[in-house]
Amino acid sequence: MRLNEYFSDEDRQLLQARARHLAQRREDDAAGEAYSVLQILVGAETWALPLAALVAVYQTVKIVPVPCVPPFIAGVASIRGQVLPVLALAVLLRVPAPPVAAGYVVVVSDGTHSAGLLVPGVGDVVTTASILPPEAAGALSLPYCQGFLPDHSSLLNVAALLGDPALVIEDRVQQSYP
Amino acid sequence: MGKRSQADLLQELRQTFRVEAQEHLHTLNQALLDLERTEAADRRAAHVQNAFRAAHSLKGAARAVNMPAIETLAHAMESLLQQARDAGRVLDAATCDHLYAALDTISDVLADRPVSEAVLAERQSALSGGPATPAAPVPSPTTAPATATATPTATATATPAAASLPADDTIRVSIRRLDQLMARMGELLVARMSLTRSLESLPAQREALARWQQTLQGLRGGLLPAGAAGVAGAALHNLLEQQARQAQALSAGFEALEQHLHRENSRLTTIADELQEQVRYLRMIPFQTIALPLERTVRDLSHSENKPITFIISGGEVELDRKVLETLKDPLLHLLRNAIDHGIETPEERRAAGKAPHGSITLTVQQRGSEIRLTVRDDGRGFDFEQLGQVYRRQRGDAPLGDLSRDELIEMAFHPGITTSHQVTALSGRGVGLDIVRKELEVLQGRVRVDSQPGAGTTLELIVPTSLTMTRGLLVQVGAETFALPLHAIEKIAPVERVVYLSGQPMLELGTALLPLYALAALLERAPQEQPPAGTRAALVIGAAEQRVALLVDDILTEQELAVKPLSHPLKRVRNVTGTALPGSGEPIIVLNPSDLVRSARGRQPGPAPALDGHLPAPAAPEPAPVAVLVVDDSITTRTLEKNILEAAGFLVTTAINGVEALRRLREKPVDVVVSDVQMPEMDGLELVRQIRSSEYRHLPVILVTSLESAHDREQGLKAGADAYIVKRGFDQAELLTTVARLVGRALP
Repeated sequence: MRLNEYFSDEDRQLLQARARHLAQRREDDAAGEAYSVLQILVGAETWALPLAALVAVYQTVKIVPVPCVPPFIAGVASIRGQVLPVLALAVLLRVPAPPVAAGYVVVVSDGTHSAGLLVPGVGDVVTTASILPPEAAGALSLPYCQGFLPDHSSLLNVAALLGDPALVIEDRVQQSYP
Repeated sequence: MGKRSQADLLQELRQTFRVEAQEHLHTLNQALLDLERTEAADRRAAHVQNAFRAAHSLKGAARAVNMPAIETLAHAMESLLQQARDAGRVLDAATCDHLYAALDTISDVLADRPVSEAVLAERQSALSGGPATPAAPVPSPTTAPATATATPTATATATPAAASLPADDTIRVSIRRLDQLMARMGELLVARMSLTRSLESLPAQREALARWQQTLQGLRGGLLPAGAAGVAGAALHNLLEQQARQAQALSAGFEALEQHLHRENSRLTTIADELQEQVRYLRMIPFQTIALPLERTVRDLSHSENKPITFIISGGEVELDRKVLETLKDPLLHLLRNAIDHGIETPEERRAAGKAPHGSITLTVQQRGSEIRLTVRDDGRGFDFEQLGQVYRRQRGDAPLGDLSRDELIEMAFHPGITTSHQVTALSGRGVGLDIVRKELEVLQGRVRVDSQPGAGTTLELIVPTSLTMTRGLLVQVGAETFALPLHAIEKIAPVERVVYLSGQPMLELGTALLPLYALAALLERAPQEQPPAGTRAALVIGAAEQRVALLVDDILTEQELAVKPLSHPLKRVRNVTGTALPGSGEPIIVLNPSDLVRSARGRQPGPAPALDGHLPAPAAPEPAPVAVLVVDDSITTRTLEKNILEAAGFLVTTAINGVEALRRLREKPVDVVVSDVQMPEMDGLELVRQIRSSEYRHLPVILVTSLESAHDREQGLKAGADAYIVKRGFDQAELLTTVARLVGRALP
């Protein structure tokens, strides 16, 4: 199912809410064994986003660049009347990918903060029965990765991403005197 | 339902009491100030009565919530005022001092500031003791040498608005609720704008409909000549006839609907605009709500400094956003203190200088569109430019002063630690100069102008926006981007006609003045343009506090009302940016921060015209800088091997033989990624990673390369903070290259 091709905003959000609800219930029933994720395509890699952290997916939202910020901030976008920061996921995940001006904006939330993630592509919603621990990656320590799906896609840790103090920008211009 | 405890109830009652007590304190302060500058006996009696009533109410309320300290003081004040009212006791300056002191102590108690028993006892005895009724029943304020007097105009503007309104006409609403209302209002505006945009597409639809009608018409006309033949032809003709009628009806209906929508939309626009204006004003309060503490300050200082002063506030009815007003209070107090301490001379000095013995300070509040001008003018001695220059020389080394203009010296008065006061007094001269004023103004995105005539006085003009949440913004174009600048920070928009260079710095000629000119694109760290876009290039003269610069923009687009919101997590504060606004177009606009921009401009080093980079003839397109790699290995073979592999792939490689040297190399020249061996003398790879992680280069990607392959070693490496771990035995070019490329976030060169 390609989320954006068949559904209106409202329908999509309703479906997502249902999916979240279902995911929640299964987790309760089977002690977190089943997990629904949205596949997102970052460069040559496929990552998986837990549906529980997904708020909405937008395809045609204008991203307005913000001056004087590091490259991992793609800009800001108006999401249903709210201006949210949009993070360039490829930069954060250090995936070599050509810079994308447009793409999908996946709005995620950890309950405290919401932000958009700029991703080059969005795949299907899949349900997985098992998740491998991050150590399965072997050599590389992947940032914001909380494990792997059986198809080897990496599971994005949204809470770690939105809560990462290293991403907080608090910057002012120093006063200089003649 | 939970039962509220007695303590909870008292707590709530005390909260209510605090609000009420503030009002009584306000009335008392006001009545005493009025009393001190009134000579007519009947009006004095009225002021005494007002004060008495407030003291009495305060006493009763304090007793009800069991706050004995306030009750006792209020009682003592009440008794004293009663003596003044009924027994002709004189309220001279000294007695008023006691009353004011008691009011301040009550304020302290209300604000939970510690007040000792001794202070309370002192206040109480000062009020109840003192001289009894003297002979003269009608006092004159001029009998007390240190009394602040005021012309009648001062009292005319100082009437508190709240006092004139019956209590039933007002209710208290929390700011939070007003903000919610404001946010909803913003959404309404966005919805309305989007409706207007949809309406704009209607004519195109109508034209499409008309074209369809024409096609039908044409078809019918084309059929007619041949139409004589056959039943089928007639049926087709009828069908077309029918279709044309339906299209006609549809078109008429469409037109009526379009007119109706336009009418309703313009009605909605009017209502929404009015509503927005009204909601905006809900947050606004008149300036005179802070007039009282200002008057008290002038009165108290004029007493303690022995400098009689006439203080006049005009324009107290001008309304400002509550937050702006609160932020303004401290800088204004500071300016008034400065004026009294540094500006106004003693009566003797004034007489000697041929001036009236009374000093004069005026505070004028004026609204000009969306900005408020506050002018503080005194007729004192003015800035001591010579001394300012000396202080500057002392503090900043031996800078030649001959070429410093008066404006530059004034600007220096706003720097931290600059004061011209000869001695440290209780008021100022503690080295805390006008920089406080500057700081507060920057919070408000305001600016200040100073004019000082030695011997004749000083005029300070503060210019601030009426509101911080809603601001009129100027939309400007920089490259392909649109930015908004708050209009109140823009002094003027000037054509870029004459630019001269002073030691490499482009300066814009504006009349007789020269202002440093900077490309806004450069300050916003935008990549240089290949060719300047078409458009009317213009310079915006912006001011932040007392500094001014000119900013070059590619085009001026429009002026618009903007609801500015701060950026959200993780963008806590971004330099040069205040926040975003969401105008009708639905696309966010970045609202720039004028004080940051001025600082960014001032911080730029002058060089061969760097201020205008990107706006000079097209520079070559920037090549991406090669990725710099630091290879650390004690084996020369491995070092050379890795260096060759990486250099062949286009990386820029430097080498080090162990961790210690690697750290030194890093300090000399930063790199993009480190490839390090684990086993090395002096400092091994694990320690190097730890050191890097705890240094300023903590985000630097580090790859460990080693012959060790046990899970334990890998764990050690990653635990130390390495980003990747490559085993030498399986060492192949591709793995090293892809890992490096991946960590620096770039495709292989």
